[in-house]
Amino acid sequence: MATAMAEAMTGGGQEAVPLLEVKHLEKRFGGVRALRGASLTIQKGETVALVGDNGAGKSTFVKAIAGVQPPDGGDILLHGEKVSIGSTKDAGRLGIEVVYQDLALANSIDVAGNVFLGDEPLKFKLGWFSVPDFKRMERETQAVLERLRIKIPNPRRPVSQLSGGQRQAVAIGRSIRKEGGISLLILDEPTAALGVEEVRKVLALIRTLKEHGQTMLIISHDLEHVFHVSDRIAVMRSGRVHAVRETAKSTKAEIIHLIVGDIEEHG
Amino acid sequence: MATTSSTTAAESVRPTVMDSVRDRLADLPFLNVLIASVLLYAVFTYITGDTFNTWNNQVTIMRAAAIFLILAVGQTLVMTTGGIDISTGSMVGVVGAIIGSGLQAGSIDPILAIPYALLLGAFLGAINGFNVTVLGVPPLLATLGTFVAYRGFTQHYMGVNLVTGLPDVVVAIGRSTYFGVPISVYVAILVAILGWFVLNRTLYGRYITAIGSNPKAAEATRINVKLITASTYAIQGALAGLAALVLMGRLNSSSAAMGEGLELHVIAAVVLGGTYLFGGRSTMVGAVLGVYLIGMLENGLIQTGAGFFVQRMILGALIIAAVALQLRQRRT
Ligand SMILES: Nc1ncnc2c1ncn2[C@@H]1O[C@H](COP(=O)(O)OP(=O)(O)OP(=O)(O)O)[C@@H](O)[C@H]1O
Ligand SMILES: [Mg+2]
Repeated sequence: MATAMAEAMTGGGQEAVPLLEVKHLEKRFGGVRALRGASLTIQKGETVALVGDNGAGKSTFVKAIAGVQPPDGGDILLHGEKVSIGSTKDAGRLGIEVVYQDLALANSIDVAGNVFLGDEPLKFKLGWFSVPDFKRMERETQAVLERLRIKIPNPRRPVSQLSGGQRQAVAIGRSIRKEGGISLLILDEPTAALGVEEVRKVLALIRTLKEHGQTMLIISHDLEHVFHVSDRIAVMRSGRVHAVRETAKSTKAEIIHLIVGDIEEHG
Repeated sequence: MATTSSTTAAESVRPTVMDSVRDRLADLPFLNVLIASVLLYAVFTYITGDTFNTWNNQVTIMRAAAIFLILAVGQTLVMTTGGIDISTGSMVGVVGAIIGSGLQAGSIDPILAIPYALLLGAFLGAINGFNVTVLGVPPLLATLGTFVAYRGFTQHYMGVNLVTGLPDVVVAIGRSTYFGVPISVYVAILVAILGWFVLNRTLYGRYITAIGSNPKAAEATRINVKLITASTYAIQGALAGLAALVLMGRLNSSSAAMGEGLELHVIAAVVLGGTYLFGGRSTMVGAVLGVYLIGMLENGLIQTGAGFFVQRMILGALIIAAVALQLRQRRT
């Protein structure tokens, strides 16, 4: 564990050890085989897009890595070491964070409150009746937002009053806040349900994260955005990662073909 | 600094002074009830030709309001999570019956009456919490069930008996004054201050707000959503125990009907105060003002000759009006 961490920190001379290796994941929901041996490898600092038709298994795949719904079979290796991710807490400890489609923000709480929700620094410690250090939360939130080059004019307002893009930024800020950063950031449809201008901001935010060397796995239906930000594209079909392409060497037409297949039925 | 950035896009949407004043006011969810209280005070003073506006009458209002305030604090915590507790009055009844009978029979030491009442109430409330969080019964129905069941227990336990002649300590909690103000009012204010602190300054307040605002968001963190939600009902139960003692002391008795209808006042006060019926947004200051507003209303109505039934009609209408207002604000 310690050596794996050290490698990760220094960038590691051993190119051979990927950040994340997912091997033959299986997941069943009653009669539905949502994952049928899905495998994927992600290198450190890489941005991988995960695409596929509705029901292909993208969300199930991500939930398995994030500990939301542990898989029935298969292996997950982080920094070359096999890990067992039985809960979101396990994932969090391993530095895997997900920003979900339906952004999990507490609307009536302000920006800093959301960024630190459930993990507040304390000024006075007494279990549930501990007093959070609100000043420090605001200061550190400001620092995180600056790092992401995000401007939120009035961070003391409840987040319900923010735009979709700003909310996305708060959710991402919340995930990457951890001291020393996180190893893998997973974004589930980060640009869905946003206006044009908001989409532009979120894509810029993703590129900022990339500049910082953040490893990311991004689920998206929008190939335009996928080609805009990803290094590689993984195509899921019927519970498998059907194909992986380098973004620079591929085309939208090819990816669409890989997603849809040869006009075959999907259920 | 200011000049270099004056042409950026962010600058052009900088809020005006009026915007920020409006924002500040929107941050005061109890503003409506504050204005209403001041107006009502003026109206009653005018109508009654000053019998309303006397220190003695204000003490009368406060004495009646003390019990409602104690319960409104717990109700606010419950409502912050998006729940509601309509069994409050019935919990007061159970505690009144058991502790009252025990005190009368001498089987409960008067000194221990307070911890016993708090514990018994917390237990009754914890049953609500269990039903809501573990069994998943919607709060309104879970507490409707115990509203009926707890009252049934009290009636069964008490029959037509009336507990009287309670120990001096208990009577003192309900009746004696200190610097002209009833002890019960000090107790209620202390509870309200604690409630304000817990809601606005502690993790607990944050977490119940998060739970009421978006349970999924709360669940995605390390917040123990079920336990915290259940605990608000237990706190409300404990406060019902405290309120039962105060009420017993004030009446120097308890009966099968003790606490009946309390929940109506309490819920009306909390909602009128600006706490959001759908969770996530709540105000302790509003609860205090809401309790006072309703206390004033009842007192003033009596002085202007309106009877008990008219009061109930107005109270019911007020609850509906307050919720309708919240729904409108929610849509905009
Ligand atoms: N909790 C569940 N219970 C039963 N079936 C499920 C569950 N979650 C997913 N499935 C099924 O597993 C399959 C894969 O679903 P998944 O949500 O992973 O697809 P997806 O690729 O994320 O689709 P979309 O693009 O629509 O989000 C689908 O057939 C879906 O119906
Ligand atoms: Mg999905």
